[in-house]
Amino acid sequence: MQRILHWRWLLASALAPIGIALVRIAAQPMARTPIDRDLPLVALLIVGWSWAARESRWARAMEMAVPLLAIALLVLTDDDRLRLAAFGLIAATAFAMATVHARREAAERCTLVVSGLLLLRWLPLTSVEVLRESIVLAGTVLVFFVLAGFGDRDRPRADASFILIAALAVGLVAPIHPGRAMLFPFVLALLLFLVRSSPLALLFSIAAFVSAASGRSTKGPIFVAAGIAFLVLALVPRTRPRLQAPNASFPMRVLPAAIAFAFFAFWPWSGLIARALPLVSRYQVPGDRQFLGYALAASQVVTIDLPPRVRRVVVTASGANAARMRPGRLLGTIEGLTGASPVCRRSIVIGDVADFGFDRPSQFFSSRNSFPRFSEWDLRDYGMHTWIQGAGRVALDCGHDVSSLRITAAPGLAPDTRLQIESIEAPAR
Amino acid sequence: MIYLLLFASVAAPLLMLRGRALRQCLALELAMIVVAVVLTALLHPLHIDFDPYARMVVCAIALLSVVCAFVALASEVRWSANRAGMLALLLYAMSIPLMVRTPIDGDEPFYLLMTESLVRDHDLDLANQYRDLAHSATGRTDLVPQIGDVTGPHGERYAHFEPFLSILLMPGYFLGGLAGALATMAILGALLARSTVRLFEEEGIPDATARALFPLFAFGPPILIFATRIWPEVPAALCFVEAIRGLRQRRPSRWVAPIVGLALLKMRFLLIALPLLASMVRRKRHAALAALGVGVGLLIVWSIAGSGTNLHRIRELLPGKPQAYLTGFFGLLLDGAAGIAFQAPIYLFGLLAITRWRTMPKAFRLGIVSAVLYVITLAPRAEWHGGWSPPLRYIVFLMPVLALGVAALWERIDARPLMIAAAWTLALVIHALTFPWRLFHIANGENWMGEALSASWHSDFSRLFPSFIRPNRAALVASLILIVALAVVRTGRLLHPLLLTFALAAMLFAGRNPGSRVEFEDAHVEHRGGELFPTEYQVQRFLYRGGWIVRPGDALSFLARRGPSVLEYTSEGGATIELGGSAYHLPPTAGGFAAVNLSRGGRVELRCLSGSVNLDRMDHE
Repeated sequence: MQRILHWRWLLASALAPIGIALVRIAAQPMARTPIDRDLPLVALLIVGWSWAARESRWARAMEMAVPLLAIALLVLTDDDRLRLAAFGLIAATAFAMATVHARREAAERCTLVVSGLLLLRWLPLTSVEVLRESIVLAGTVLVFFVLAGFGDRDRPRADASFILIAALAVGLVAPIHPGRAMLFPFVLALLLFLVRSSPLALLFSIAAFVSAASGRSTKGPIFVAAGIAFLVLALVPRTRPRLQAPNASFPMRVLPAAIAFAFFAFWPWSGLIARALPLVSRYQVPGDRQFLGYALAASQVVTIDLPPRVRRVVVTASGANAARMRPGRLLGTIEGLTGASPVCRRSIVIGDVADFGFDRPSQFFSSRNSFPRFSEWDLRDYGMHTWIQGAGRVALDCGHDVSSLRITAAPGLAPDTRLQIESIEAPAR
Repeated sequence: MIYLLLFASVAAPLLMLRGRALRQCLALELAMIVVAVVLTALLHPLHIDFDPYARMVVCAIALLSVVCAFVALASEVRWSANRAGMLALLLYAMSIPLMVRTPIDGDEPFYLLMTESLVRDHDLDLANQYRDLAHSATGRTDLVPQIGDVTGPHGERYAHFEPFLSILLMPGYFLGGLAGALATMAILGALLARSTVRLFEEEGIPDATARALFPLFAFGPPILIFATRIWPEVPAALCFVEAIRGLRQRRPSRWVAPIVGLALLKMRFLLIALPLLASMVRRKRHAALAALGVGVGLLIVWSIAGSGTNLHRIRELLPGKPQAYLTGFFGLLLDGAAGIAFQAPIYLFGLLAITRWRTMPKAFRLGIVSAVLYVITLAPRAEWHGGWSPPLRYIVFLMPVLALGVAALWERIDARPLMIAAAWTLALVIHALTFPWRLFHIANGENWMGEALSASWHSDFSRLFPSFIRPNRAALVASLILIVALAVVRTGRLLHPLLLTFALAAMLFAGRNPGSRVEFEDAHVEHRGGELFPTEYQVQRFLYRGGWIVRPGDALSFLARRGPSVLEYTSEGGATIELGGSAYHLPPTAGGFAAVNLSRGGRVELRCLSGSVNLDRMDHE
């Protein structure tokens, strides 16, 4: 019976990607994003999740996610982002159900870790760096095994969904550039192994969270993930009877599922979740803008005429080749002029803005920038390669009407560094 | 809306669950709300344009689905028919504000006008109501007397609708105007839900099955839709269920009133009432009671309408063309806009139950037998699909009985087809509550799904949905599939979700290619000028052949096949058109054909150069 069951799943795992691939081919001109192209892999992963939960009656409901993906592809043709969000919600629902209903055995749990990480990190497939991603994947599985206590005879096997979530969090934020950063999950696994039976895990967790709050924002995600891993390690042994399914209380099963859902809901932009989540609270809706497109070298000046009756100007700016500059470093100044005399002035520093591409996966970990104070969320690319342009919104409040704006790049900029002025908003009062 | 949602999401579990299940349900709801808030916060920065109203409806349905899942699956449930009715009342009350986003439509405003007249003037003369529509609770100032309305000797205007529903609405309207009338409908809907659960209990349906099926019945289409709008269908369904229960219990005191009520609500329901009565006549006393019931009903109708049959004539019962029976019957089952398969798919299993006749509960058999005469009379009528009304209008009364059939089969049906039907039902509910105005369709052979796909892909997807209003090839295929399925399907196990994926792929491949027929009024045709014929709000629009009128300068763009085709059109003075780069003169005709030839397939443009022409369709040869 068991063998027949597996044949059925093998057949499903072959048919689901083929079916979705056919739908995508038929939808070719409309399904234009890389995520649409890689949808067959998502279908395969969904079948894997329903296989992991095959003993639950909800496995059949999870299989429904495959035709739902096809329906989203068929129906939401006009709006790419809405369609990708629908893909996100569908897959997230299936994965959240899998975290609750999957069998509590090593194979099934490991399947969830690997497939979850494939979804979060390997899409779009065309730009995946296979070797580096495989190393991160191996490291993440190692973290999962250490957290779960596999091979440790003194401990019962910890199979709580929280462990799955912690391992996925580590895997999601693990950088692959520069190369040595790929060691992060392995180092973390070693530390977790060393402190597994001591109260040090909680201390490490606190230390990691403190580091995340006080250190460079580009290192924040890995400290947060490490903090979560140590926290789970510290709490799971003490409260294991409550956290273990099937004895786990319902909220203790729902909570990780809800976290998993939130984690996965935006997997088509997983890079955003991995690297730029703090920017959520810094989003500002742009108003009517005048696009400029200046790149100012050190000491260069540009003057922009403003419409009448303007007292407040918002400049959207970013740095070019400025990723190594620390927060607070001066990039330039903005002055509001009445006639030729300045009436107001403010500096543009790293922190107000960031390097244009500092959030790219290849630059983020080595960048010394912090997130811009206010951002328009100019989103680029998909999947793990999603990045937010580092432009920040810098407001200049003058209190008087100003007729023009003078922007000067700081004299101390490196030869290849530029202050990029992208647009201004100058609403009349 | 948010407060209503929060209230319902707390009240519903408190009403139906207890102990651990209650705590679990509330915890899950809380988690869902938190996740929804987090995701909503991300939507704006991600520039994802998801209509806030639709978002709210989706959240509400998701939360209430969780409650329904707990009611169906948990062990600690406070389950009884009364509680089921109260849950239904709660959710219907919550749905009413969503349904009245746009003014009431179809027959609804006329029922409300009659209620207004009864409450304010104590008569059924609507002449003064039509004169003063600005002060009517209908919110409609465009109402005019309808075809079939009666004009009295002193200029009185009487609507042709039976007044019993309006009488039922009087207390509610008196207390709260339109909201009160709709609340009355919700109460009647809740009573229907309660009675149906009682019927399940009396027919030996296990509690677990009743709990699982209940939300699909009470909160799925068409019951949810008609329980929150002003139509006589839900009260009729209530009377039908109560009559069946009364007959099964052999308690005349229980069935007389429902049967009289059924006949009073709509004259057409007499076709159900009579077989019901016939089924119980075993003694003279019963026959006398039945005759008395029918007599009282006819007398009341005669006293109001001046005729015992109101607008209807006995000749309507005479057999029509066999083709019309087939069209109507299969249309009720399979039509994309008005059939069970697309508008209330869960009841397809009720049809399957008919094929297992001997093993079905007696109440199911009684209900189906009683409805046979009605369905036979309905099927050949041009308005079998309900006209300007939400889908399935004419067979809403039958839904509790079909639900009983589904319940009897429940354990034997595989989970996969049930999941597919449940998911589709959920989508229909979200659609109905988000876009209530789309429940009314101009009956042109398309449906909202086909129209949406056609508009998105600029290609004719509507032809892939079976239409019996404007019969197409898909209708024939679907009918054959249904016949085979009814004969072959035992559990539906083969209906795997992955097959659905392949079906969708096939649909997409087929839909993106030009069809052999182009209907010019359809959504896939890009209209640059011109006008729809007949106009959208033409009474009994389905009796006309639809088309698109073009005049000089107007143009249409559509996908068509290469080669010779025949254009069907109407033109008073003749017209000249340019099609695919060639000019054609169309002579005057009241309904004629013109041969055209397209030198290339794909997107072509039809432009009117002179004259005026009503373009009906173009068939590829």
